[in-house]
Amino acid sequence: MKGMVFTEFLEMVEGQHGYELVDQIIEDCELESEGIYTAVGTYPHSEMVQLIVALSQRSNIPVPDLLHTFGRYLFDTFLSKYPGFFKEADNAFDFFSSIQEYIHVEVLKLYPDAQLPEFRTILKEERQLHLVYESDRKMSTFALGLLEKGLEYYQEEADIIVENLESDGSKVLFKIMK
Amino acid sequence: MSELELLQKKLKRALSARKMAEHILEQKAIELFNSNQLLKEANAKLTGEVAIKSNQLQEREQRYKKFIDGATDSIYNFTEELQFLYVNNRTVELLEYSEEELLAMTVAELVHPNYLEMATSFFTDILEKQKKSAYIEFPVVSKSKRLIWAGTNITYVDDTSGVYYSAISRDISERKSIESDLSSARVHLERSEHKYRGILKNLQLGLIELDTDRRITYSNLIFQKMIGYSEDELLGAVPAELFLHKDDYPIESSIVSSDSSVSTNVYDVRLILKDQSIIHVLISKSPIYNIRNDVIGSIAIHYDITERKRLETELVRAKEIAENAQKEQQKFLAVMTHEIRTPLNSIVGMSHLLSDTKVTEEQEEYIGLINNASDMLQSLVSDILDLSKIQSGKQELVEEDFDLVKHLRNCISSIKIRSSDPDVVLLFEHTDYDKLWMRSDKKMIHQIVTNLLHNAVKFTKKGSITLKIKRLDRPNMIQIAVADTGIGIASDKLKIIFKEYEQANDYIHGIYGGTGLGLSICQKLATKLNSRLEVYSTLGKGTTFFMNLPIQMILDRNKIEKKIKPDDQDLSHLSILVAEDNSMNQKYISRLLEKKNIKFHIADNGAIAYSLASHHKFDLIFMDIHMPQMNGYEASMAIKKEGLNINTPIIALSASTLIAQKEEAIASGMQDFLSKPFNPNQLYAVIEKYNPAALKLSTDDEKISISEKNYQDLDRDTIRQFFGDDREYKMDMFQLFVDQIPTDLHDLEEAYRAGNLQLISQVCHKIKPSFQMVGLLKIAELVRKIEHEAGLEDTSVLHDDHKIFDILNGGIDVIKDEIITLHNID
Repeated sequence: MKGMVFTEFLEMVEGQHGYELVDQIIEDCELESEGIYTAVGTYPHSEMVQLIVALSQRSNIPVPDLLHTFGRYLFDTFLSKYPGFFKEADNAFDFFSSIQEYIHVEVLKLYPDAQLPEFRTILKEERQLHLVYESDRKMSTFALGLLEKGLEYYQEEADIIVENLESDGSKVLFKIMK
Repeated sequence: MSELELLQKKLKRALSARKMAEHILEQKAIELFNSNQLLKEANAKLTGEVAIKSNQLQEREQRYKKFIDGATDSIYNFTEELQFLYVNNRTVELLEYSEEELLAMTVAELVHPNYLEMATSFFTDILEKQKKSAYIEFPVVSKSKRLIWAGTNITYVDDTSGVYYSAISRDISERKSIESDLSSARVHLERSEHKYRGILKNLQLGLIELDTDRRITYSNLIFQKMIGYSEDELLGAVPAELFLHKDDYPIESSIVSSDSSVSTNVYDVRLILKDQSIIHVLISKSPIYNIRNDVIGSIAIHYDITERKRLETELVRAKEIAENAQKEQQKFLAVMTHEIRTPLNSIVGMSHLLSDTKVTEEQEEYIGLINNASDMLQSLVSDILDLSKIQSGKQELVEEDFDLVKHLRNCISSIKIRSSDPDVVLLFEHTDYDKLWMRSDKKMIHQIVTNLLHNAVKFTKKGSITLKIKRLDRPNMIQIAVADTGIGIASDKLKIIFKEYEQANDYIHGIYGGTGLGLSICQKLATKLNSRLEVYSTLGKGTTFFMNLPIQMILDRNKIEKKIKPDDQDLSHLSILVAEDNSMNQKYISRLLEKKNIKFHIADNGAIAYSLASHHKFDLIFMDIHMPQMNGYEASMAIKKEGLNINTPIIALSASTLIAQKEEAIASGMQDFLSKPFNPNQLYAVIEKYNPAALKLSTDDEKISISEKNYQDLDRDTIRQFFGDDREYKMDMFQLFVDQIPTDLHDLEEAYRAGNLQLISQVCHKIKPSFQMVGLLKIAELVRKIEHEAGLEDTSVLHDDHKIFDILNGGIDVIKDEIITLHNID
């Protein structure tokens, strides 16, 4: 997993709860990296899972909710770091449906070792968009956070209905309806 | 944990992170450096390739330059100011200026002054309208003031080297000169059209022109006069509506519906004139085309054939009348001759019977006179009948094999009997041939020769009458001639003697009688035989008639004369049925049959004949055609349908010689036809022909029959003739046969396998005498036939090879047995 995700995550925790909690969860986890992350590095996904689980225990907030919050937080980071992706689309539907075929392709050019989820568009109409999220990392609430912020960015209003296609959360259908 | 400790921890982590990041970045820098090195190498390689490619490009450019320089078209570039930029070799060659001279010139200096304005405005036009490509033709003037027409394709080019025109010109002077010839030809054409229009105008031919809707667009004066309508009345009218005869609409419409756009049609129709009278016209209608070859109408020329039509109709009617009259005449002749023949039959028959009774000398003389008179009457009737048959084309050629020498000898004998004049000698000259077997129509030759001999007898009072057969120099041609020492024919009459009903003069008719038909018939028969009767004569000295006859000789028969049947067959075993209603004829036939001891039954009509035939088996049936109750056809059909006599030959008897009747007789199952009146020999000939014994002999002679004969019969008489009582000699010869023949048969088998007819014939010729010598005569005869047929290249010989070899090998076995028998006697 890209180092930027770790540095942003820890910055979010520090910003919201102070560096003490950051230190606590690092200490809780006994990480191989010892909690030392740089945006240009790459680290095991398992460390992120350990950190989130530790945060959940410390803060009494469920993991999905934490991921949702992180998703919303990371959108702003993406927006400031990679504004080019957002200029390509005029509206949220076009943007969402370009993730799989355009954004992820471009990301892989920059970071050939990045591991990205599937994000397929299976229905696109004027008033509704169906996306299927599929990943072994089961971070669909993280994706939901990103989608919500996406709608806000394009100043559009829509309901997002989430349906689990696999009970373990590895495959999820997002119905975005205006 | 204190704030400070926390901060220290955070700082420591940040430092570690920075070091880690620096390390990562250094790694990336090294990677980048390496990539850069690779890129540099790739670049160097590419530069090398570019150099090679540009070399190739240059070479190609050189090639194109050569190509352009060698081009048969003139290729050149010039600026907007018409200044030459480039010229190829062809341009230099064509314009006769050097390359340097041309590059210092403008196009305008070369274009013929009269066309300069046109050319320059054309160039400007290309530039203004940014045309990719355009074509123009203009003449240019070469250095030696030669005028050259140039067909030029010009392209406007705007590339890195600037804006200019690129042109390719071709010398089209030749085409231009042809075009100018063409235009002068067109002038000639117009003049000649004018001329022909003038001619048409003065001809007595009605002419109209029609458009594609078949409306009249033009009519000439003659047509207006012909039809009676004025020019205005005709203009725009449709011929079919205005003046075409209703009954001829189909002709017109069939012409229209046929592909009239491509062909000229000629047809005749009737037209109704303005005054309602009708004329016949012959119309020749052709399409008219415009320059693009589209049909734009048609032109119809009318020729008045009313008078000709009238004559034609009359002619047809006259021909019909004449033909009917001729038919009537033929019918009349046929009926009359029939009517005359029936009583004549009785006279001939009865006088023959009468001479068989005991008669006094005086009575004999009277009978002779009756015979002479009735013979003459018969030949008259035959002549007339023959002529009508020939005229109606009903005389058919019936070919058969016969010995001409023998046949002509018979002709002369029959004449000898008739002419008993002691002062006239009848001679037969046939020094070239002893025998002459040939294939032809025996009856026709007989008729011709007999007729000529009769004439000769009639006109010769002293001296000789000679019948000759001569070999001619040409192959398969012989000459038959009858020469007499009679009164002769005047040279001016020689031409007419072959015409019908013509005699040399009326005086001849007075003294000698006759119909004047004989020679005419002979000539017609000779024509049928692919020959011609000719004559030379000296008045008072004699006359010679001769014909050169093409013949099919049967060489084999001419060498070996075989006696097919005995002269006088014993017919007493036969049983014959005679169906005849005329009691006189009954008596005549009965008498003739009794003479030969033939058993027979007489039936008064067809019904009785049928009833007799269903109870008795007959060898032959004579059947009159016209009988009460059941006629000959019906009776024959009934007899042939079932019962004992299905296979019995039935011979029709009739006084009519019409071919139609003969055909009907064959159709009803009869085999042959004997025409009344007949003489005894004719009757006996028919009986002999259908005598089952004779019949078998003759069929055996015709074809190789290999199934029925007992080929292994040894002819002891022959053996005795050859070897007498010398048993040793006989045994030696038989042994030689047994030793030698298998080798020959092997050769023969090879020849069969190869289908080599010539070789088959040769081998057969070789082995034939061996089979004869050992007494296997039937096998020898079979071998002879194979030899003969193979010699004639008759491939049917090849079909029965298995059976033939069985027979031949069987022969060898017989001789082997014979040798054993001879040894045992020892």
